[in-house]
Amino acid sequence: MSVSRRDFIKRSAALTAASYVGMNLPISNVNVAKAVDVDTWVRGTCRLCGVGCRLEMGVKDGRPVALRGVPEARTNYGYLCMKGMLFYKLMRHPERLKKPLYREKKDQPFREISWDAALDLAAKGFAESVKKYGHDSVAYYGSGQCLTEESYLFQKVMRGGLQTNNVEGNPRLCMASAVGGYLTSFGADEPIGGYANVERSYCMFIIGSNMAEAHPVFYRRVMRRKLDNPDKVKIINADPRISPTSRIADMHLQFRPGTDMALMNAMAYVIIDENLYDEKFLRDYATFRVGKESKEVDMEAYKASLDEYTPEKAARLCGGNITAEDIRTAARWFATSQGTLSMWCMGINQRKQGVWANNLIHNLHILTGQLCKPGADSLSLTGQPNACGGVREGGGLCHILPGHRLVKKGKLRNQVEDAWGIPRGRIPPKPGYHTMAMFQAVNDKKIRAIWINCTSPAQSLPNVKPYREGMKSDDVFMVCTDIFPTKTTECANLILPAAFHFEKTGVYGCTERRSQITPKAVDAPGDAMPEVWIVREWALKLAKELNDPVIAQCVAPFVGKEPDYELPEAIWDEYTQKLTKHRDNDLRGATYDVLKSMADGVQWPAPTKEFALTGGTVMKFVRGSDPMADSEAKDDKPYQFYGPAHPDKKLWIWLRPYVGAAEEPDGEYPLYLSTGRIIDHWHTTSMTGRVPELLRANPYSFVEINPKDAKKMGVRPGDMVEIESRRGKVEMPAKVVEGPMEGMVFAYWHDMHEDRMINKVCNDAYDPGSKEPEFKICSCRVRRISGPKALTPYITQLNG
Amino acid sequence: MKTLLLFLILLVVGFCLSACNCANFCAKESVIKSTQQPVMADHPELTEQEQLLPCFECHKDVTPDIYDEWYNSSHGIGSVKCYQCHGTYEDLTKVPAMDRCGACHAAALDHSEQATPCWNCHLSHTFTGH
Repeated sequence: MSVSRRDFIKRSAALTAASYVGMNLPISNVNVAKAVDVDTWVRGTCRLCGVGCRLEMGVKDGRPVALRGVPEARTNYGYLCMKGMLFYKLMRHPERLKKPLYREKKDQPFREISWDAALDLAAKGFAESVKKYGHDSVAYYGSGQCLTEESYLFQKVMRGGLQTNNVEGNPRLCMASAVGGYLTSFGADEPIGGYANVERSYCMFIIGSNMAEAHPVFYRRVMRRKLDNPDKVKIINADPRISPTSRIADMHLQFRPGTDMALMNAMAYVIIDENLYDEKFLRDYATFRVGKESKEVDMEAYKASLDEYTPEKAARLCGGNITAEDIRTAARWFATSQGTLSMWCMGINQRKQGVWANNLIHNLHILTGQLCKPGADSLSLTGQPNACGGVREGGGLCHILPGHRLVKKGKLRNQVEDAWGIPRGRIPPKPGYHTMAMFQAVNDKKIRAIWINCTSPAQSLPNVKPYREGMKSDDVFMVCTDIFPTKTTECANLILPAAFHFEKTGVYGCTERRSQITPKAVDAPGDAMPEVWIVREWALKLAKELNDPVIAQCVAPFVGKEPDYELPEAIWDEYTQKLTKHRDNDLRGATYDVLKSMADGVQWPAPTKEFALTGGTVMKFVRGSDPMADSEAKDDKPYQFYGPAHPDKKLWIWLRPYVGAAEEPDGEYPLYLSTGRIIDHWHTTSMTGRVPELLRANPYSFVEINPKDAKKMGVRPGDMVEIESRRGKVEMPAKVVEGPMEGMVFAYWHDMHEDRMINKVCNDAYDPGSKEPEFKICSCRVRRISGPKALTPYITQLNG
Repeated sequence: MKTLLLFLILLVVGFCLSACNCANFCAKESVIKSTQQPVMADHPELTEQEQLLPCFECHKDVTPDIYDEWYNSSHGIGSVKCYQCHGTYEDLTKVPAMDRCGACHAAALDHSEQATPCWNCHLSHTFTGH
């Protein structure tokens, strides 16, 4: 940040003229090659966000050399963002982990060991913990970036083999509230519709999402819909911060963090007050519910609950730039458009009241009948490429089994045990530790062996410092599978080098219930191996260590299969054919052969191959679109809400009052702090930080400060500031911008430098239902510490 | 004096860009494949710290018209950044290689005339239609 732009202009003046004269090149100097020179293009799915862009990797001499979009894919129609264009560059990065690494004590340097020795150590570490401290002293913490086959096999060995439900993953940090919202409002997890609604929508309500940066290729569709239909299509952007997403908005509702719950209740108030609700839809498909017991109430009770949310009262509560008339206008647009599509992400989910905030969005859709018809949907955007497919559907959280089954239901546990051919009663009835409880249990020495796969909780947990100290303790044996050193491998005893995307085969399931395969295209570097091979071999050794044949039984169907294709295919077949059969995510038709034949995969439910080959279910619950709407029908109505969580097969409108954040600003910490993602980086930068273009584009975190607040604090653009909360403090450059509203600052979270790691400051309070932490709101104070300072980007290396 | 200097730069830039478009269009029949040359040599030398700034930090002052065109284009609204087409310091090019367009526009390239660069019709930085 030390460059003076004025100096730069002066220095470049003489050169600039020459430079642009140089642009007047004869055309023969232009490279008109339409594609990079490759031996072959291999079709798969993007490794990064939850949009699920289909792309092709160009391979030359066995090396990845390019990526390009797949034009006929209904996810992205050929478009990619910068991360999708460039991630091939990290695959041959010199810092890739290539050998198993071990150290007995965490203050020792790592040393290379053989796979055989590494798997022995992993098996002994877990077996000893089980013998000494019991089954619940071991845990698995996975990721929404693992392939479905990986998440499925890990949880199978943990539950069926090691007899613990201590199976969690980072989707708890991003999607759990959306799961809770869908289950409690619609009776079934995951969206009813999908991306195709964008092109049919006339009103889009984007709340708590900077999708222009977090889901850029899907945002492109929203942008194109608006730019092509500037008068017909209305965009409402509701967010405490003006972001790049706001550029296409007709209306920006800038509310005080957390008060969106009042805003949405006020929109519901207007919809009822002005008779904009869909009476027939409500009569046919909805009931009203309140409280922990889900007590049914009538519409009058619901109306009465909204009395506190007149537009005038809500506008005052929301603060910012919102007027009562804005709320009325937004409600009218929402209710009366030919098709209204809501989209949200972490701003709604990462909240103490995340499930309730999700319910309030769904309420608006149920009230107005803006569901199940073209252009209408309540669409939760997913952060990671396989949070839906692998973790939500594949049983990757402590309370759920594969196929959207709850652990606590004995009948459903038995179905899984029978499918696996293991004794009934083997899967414990009690859900395991959820994420925050799991790392607290590490701190409390209740967990003595933990396997972290493809994620970096030592950077990504909120209030990360105390949890990192727990992970660094020699009281817990920690195994990490990853492709690069991370802040979490710094806490490990054993690091196992994993094959990366396109170095192995498997399936990702994206935001819109769409499963897509990515086949192996190139060899992994060094001795890196696919995780499915690692788990299988580990389980076989574990069975010997614990003298427990049931552990071996968990991987018996997969023994002897080669790891690049046969093994993941056998796992996928077991999961889909045995465990999604007659479940709402029925994937039996989506075999590897079918998935390979599709440009863009299959949307479930897809019970048969014939149906899967059409692309699957575009709109769930709608007869004529969803085969299960017929097979599960209870009457002759066109929509059948057959989800497993609602016995009455209805949609539920919830009475949910506005409740503030767990920590609100006060005299000591007077500002709101919120955090988020930047377009050039993925999560903790362990990958994107190793691609020079992406690193340089945003080499370190900065904090956005409203100009009015900056003036009060005496902060000028580029100044270094300290951000401090009750939990910790960091320092980073300030960007003075009309982004966050007055009284709020916003920091990017990707930076892994100790001084700038904003998760040290964030709050680890979590939603009582979803257990998802409130990353998005806490209180802080900010002070200027110096003028602009030259900073160095930081990516951790092995041995720190 | 600084304002005057900036004005002169813009004048030269504007003239040269017009010439560039004309030359591209007039010569499209004679296109042959060639290797794109990085242009770092005639970009002002940057320190390591300066290389950590996004291109637009300087270019919105040095080439404000281009910045405005990009910012208001579908690329600008959709956050398609300079380096995605022009590369970065190892492979910076003033005129992007067309295979870079192909990362997102492979189908359009397949349907276009072999010899015609994209920007003959989709004008540089505004990316308006034909």
